Amino acid sequence: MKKRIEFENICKTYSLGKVLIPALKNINLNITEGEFVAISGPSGSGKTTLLNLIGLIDKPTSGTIRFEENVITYNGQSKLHRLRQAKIGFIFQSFNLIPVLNAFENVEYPLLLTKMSAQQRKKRVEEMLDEVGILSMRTHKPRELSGGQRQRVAIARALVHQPKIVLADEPSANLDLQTAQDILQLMAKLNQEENVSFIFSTHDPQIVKIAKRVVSIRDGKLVN
Amino acid sequence: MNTKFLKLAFKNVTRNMRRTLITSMIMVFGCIALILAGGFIKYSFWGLSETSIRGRYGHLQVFQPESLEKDEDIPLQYGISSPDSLIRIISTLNEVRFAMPRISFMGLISNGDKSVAFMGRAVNPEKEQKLTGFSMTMESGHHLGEDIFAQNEDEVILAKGVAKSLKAEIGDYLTLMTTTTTGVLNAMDVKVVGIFSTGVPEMDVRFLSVSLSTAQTLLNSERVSNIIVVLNETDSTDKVAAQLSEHLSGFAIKKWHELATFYRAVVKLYNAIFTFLGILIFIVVLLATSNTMMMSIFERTKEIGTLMAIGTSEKRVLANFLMEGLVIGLLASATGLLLSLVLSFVINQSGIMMPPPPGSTTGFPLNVHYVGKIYLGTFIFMLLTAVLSTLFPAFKASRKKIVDALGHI
Repeated sequence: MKKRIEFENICKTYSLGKVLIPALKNINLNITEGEFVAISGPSGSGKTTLLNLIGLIDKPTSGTIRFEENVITYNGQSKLHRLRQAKIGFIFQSFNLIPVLNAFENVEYPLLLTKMSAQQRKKRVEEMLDEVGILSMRTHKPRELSGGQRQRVAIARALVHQPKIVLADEPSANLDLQTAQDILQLMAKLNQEENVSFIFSTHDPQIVKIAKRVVSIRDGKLVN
Repeated sequence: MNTKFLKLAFKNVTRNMRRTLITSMIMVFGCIALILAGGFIKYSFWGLSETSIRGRYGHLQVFQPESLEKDEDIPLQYGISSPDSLIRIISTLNEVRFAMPRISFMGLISNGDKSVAFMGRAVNPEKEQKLTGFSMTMESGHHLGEDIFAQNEDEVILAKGVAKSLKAEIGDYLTLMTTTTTGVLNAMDVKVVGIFSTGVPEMDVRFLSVSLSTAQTLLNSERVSNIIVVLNETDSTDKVAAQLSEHLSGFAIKKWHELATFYRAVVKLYNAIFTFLGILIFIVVLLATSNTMMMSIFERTKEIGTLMAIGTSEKRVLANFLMEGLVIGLLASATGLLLSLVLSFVINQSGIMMPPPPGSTTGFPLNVHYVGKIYLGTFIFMLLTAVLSTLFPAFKASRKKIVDALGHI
C-alpha cells in the first residue's frame, strides 16, 4: 500500500497575543492509499488543525510532513497550490459552494484550473454529478438545493479532478442524521470505487461507526 | 484567457446588484462629466481659434523679420515693400484660399471739437470681408467699398465706441491724423460709412478700419505691415507654413496660434481645468470602486479561502478580482459613452446660450463637440481607473491565509 501522508513529530502552536496555545502535540500519523479514516474527538481537540495540515493549507510549527514520500517544505506557495489542485479534494462542513455558480459549474471549477478541454470537462462533471445522484439538478444554484444535495455537489467537486486524498471537515455536522448517514455511505462507496483516501473529522459516534479506521484526538494528542 | 473566468466575474459583479449599480453610476457620471467637459472645451477652442483666425490673424502672416524683433522709429519702417509679388507666390499654393496685405497704424481721429486715439487697420475691403465678416458685426451703415455711388472718397468704418465718443454718424466726415514715413504729421478727411462691433469692449473704443490706399496715402508709403494668408482648412496651417518658409526666404512666417496669445492662455487655462476635473473624477471613481471591491472581498473571504484550498493560485484570485473591476469598468464606461452621446445631442439641439466670456460683449450657444479621441480616452481612462482601484483589494484578497479565510464569519 502506497503511503499518502506521513506526519513525523508534528506540533502546531497558535499565538494569541503573547499567549501560546498548543493545538497539536507531537503527532505521528500515516495515511495510506484508499483508507477511509475518521478523526474523532471533542470540539477544540485539534481535529480541524490536523485536517488543515494534511490538506497543506496550514504550516506546522515543527516536525515533518511527507506527501507521497516527498517532504513538504512550505517554501513556494505555487508548489503547494499545484499539489492541492492535483491531489487533494476538500469537503467543508458548510459546503462552501460558490453561490453564483450552479451545481454543474461548482463541480467544474477545479477542472478550470487544469488544461482539460471543455468537452472533457463536461463529460467528467456529468459523470461525477451522476455518481453522487444529482445530475438532474445540474442547473440548480446552491440556494435551490437542500443541505444533503449541496453536500453531494461538494463531494462531486472534491472528487472531480481525481485526487489522491479527500479531506472532509465535519461533513455531516449541518445535516440531519439520515442525510448524514447517506452522505457518509456515499463517501464510503466512492472510497471503494475511486480508490481515494478519505479522511473526515467528526464528533458523532454514529458517523464514526462507518469509518474503517478511527484516529482519536484529545487535547492535541492522538489517543489509541 | 478562459472565458469561464470572465463569466464568473460577470456573475460575481451582479451578485450585489444595488452596490454594483451605485458604483457604476459614479463611473457613468464621471464618464459623462469628462466627455461633456472635453467636448465643450474642444468647442470653445474651435470657436476661439476661428474667432482669432477670422477676426484678426488669418491662418498665417508674413512679416519682414525686423518688424518682429525691433520697434519701428517711424510707421512702416520694417514694412513689406513689394506685397503684390509675394501675394502672387503665396497664391500658387493649393491650400491657400487667398492672401491680402494689411497695414496696422495708429493716430488721432477728430470731429473738429474732439480727438481720440485710434488703432487702425488698413485692408483690402473685398478680401477682408471674406475673412472678418465672421467676427465683425455691422451695427449701421456698410463695409468699406460697398457704396457703388461713392465718388472716390476716402472711407472709414468705426468701432461703436469710437463713433460714440466722437458722436459720429453715417455720412459724417472726420479727420485722421498720423505721422508719415518721413516723420511729418499728415491729416486726411474720411467719410464714416459704417459702425461696427468687434465683440470686445476694449477694441470697440479704439478700433477703426480704412482701405489700403487711404492708409498708404495718409502714411505716404507703398509699403504694408504684413500679408495675411487665409487657407481652405485650418488643419493645413503647419504644412503651408513650412512650404512658405521655403518659398519666401528672407521673410518671417508666423502661424495664427503663435500670434494669438489670448488663445494660448485660454487653452492653457482650460487644459488645467480639464486635468483638475480628470484628477477629481479619478479619485472619486478610485475610492468608489475600491470601496465596492473591499466590501465584496470582505463578504467573500470564506469563498476566497475555499477557492484557494481547492487549488486556485494567488495569481488566479488576483486575476479574478481584477476581471471583476474590468467588467464594472467596461459596463459603466460603455453606458457612460452612450449617455454622453445622447446628452451631447440634446445639448446641441437645445439652443442654450452661454453668457459672454470675459472681455467680450456677446454670448455664444452652448455646444459640445463629438471628439472621438475624448470618447476613446475617457473609455480607456475609466477602464484603467476601475482596474487600478481593484488592484489593492484584489492583492489583499490573494494574500489571505487560507486557514484564516476559511475561518472568517
